[in-house]
Amino acid sequence: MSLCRSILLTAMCILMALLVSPAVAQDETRVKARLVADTVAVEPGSTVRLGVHFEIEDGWHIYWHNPGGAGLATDVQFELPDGFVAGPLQWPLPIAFIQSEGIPGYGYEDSVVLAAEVTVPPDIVISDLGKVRAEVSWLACKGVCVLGSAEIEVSLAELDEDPVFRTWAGQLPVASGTENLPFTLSVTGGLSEGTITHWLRWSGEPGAVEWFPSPSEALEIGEVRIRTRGGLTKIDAEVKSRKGASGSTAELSSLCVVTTEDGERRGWELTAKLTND
Amino acid sequence: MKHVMRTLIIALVAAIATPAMAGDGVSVGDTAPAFTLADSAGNQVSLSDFEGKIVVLEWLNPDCPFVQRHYKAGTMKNLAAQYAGEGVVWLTINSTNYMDAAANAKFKADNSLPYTILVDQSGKAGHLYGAKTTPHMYIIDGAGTVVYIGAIDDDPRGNKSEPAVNYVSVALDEVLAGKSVTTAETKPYGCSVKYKK
Repeated sequence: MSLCRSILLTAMCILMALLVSPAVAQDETRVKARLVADTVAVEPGSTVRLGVHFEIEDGWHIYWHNPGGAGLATDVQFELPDGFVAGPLQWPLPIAFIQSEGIPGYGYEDSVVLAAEVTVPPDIVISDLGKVRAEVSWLACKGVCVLGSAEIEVSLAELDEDPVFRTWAGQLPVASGTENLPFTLSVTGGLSEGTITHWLRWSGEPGAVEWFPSPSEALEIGEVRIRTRGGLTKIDAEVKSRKGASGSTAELSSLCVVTTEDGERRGWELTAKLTND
Repeated sequence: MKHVMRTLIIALVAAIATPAMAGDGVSVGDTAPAFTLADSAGNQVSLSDFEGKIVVLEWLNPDCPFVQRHYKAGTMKNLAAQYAGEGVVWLTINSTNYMDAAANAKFKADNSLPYTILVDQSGKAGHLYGAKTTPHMYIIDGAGTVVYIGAIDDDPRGNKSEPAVNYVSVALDEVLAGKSVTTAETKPYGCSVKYKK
């Protein structure tokens, strides 16, 4: 009887394990995350780039800091030795996709590096560097969605210059307020009109133009229409404020991305006032 | 003639290029649009059946990890039970294209849910309300006006160190007290609603 019971229990345990484990295994195979750096050696007083390299299974995507109409931003939290300071996470140019009928999504396929600039304290003893840890979480979707997370750890002394950083900087947008932009920007409309229009005047035909609104709790972006005629691009976006939601409605930050005929992508961060105050 | 043709083509291209957005849906302050759907037992249920009552609409997809987290924690069930005593009606709508009455009946039984799950495989109710995520929450007051749209709480990752603010609970308390809802719209989070293509 007791043998029967133990066999039954074992069988149930195996069954439970079978029921539970696929979700965990899926996480691991859909997305792989590892810690990467752009330096061979961490020097006192230097600045290094520390990031997480995500490798995403074919057909799946993870999300930009604004996931779009649904989804969840990928999250990276660094835990660094005392005195080390990490800057904000830098987000390479995302791609746009349709998540479901009429629901836009912004994110990454194949692979991406989400990195931050880390300032190394000047008085650090190199032989006593310790470890860096990153707590990473993401939502991966391909029709269905799977939440994934990882805690990754690496010894600072073991950091190596990772080849993923060779092309990384070229995938970042140009910051808002930078001079010598390839376009002149003017903005019309705003919250009271319910539509904001970005007009970009280029020196020639720019290529394919995409537009990505930055994350905002307080602003809801509806339909977006983009038209380019010759050297003029008009980006119309429906915009409204969420009543009572936290966050500012004074400005709308966004990202304009151009893909040239030879497939090269470049992006610029834009800032537009939404009110006349 | 040529000019007319060109105009027609441009209009046609524009029509194709601008698909209907799920975000069209309802806004806070709108009269809640009427709908009739079959529940997981095959009974026809209309929003108008609950005229004069406060109604919570919850968009569901049992396959979505955000929904699974909240059902494991009992968020929806506890909230529905807590406010049922105050006469609040809880309607869960599943607009997942591949989930029929049987799939919804199974989820209702597996979780011993006291409330109705409405089957919306065509996505008509989802599109009518502009539901984008699972979960996506709506509150309709006794006068039939939409008074809350958005997330269930302020903890998309489910890892906040302090207790999450449940927006639906806060809004229901305000509605029941005869006040206007302070946080009437929030950014919903979750999986996209898996609409029929």
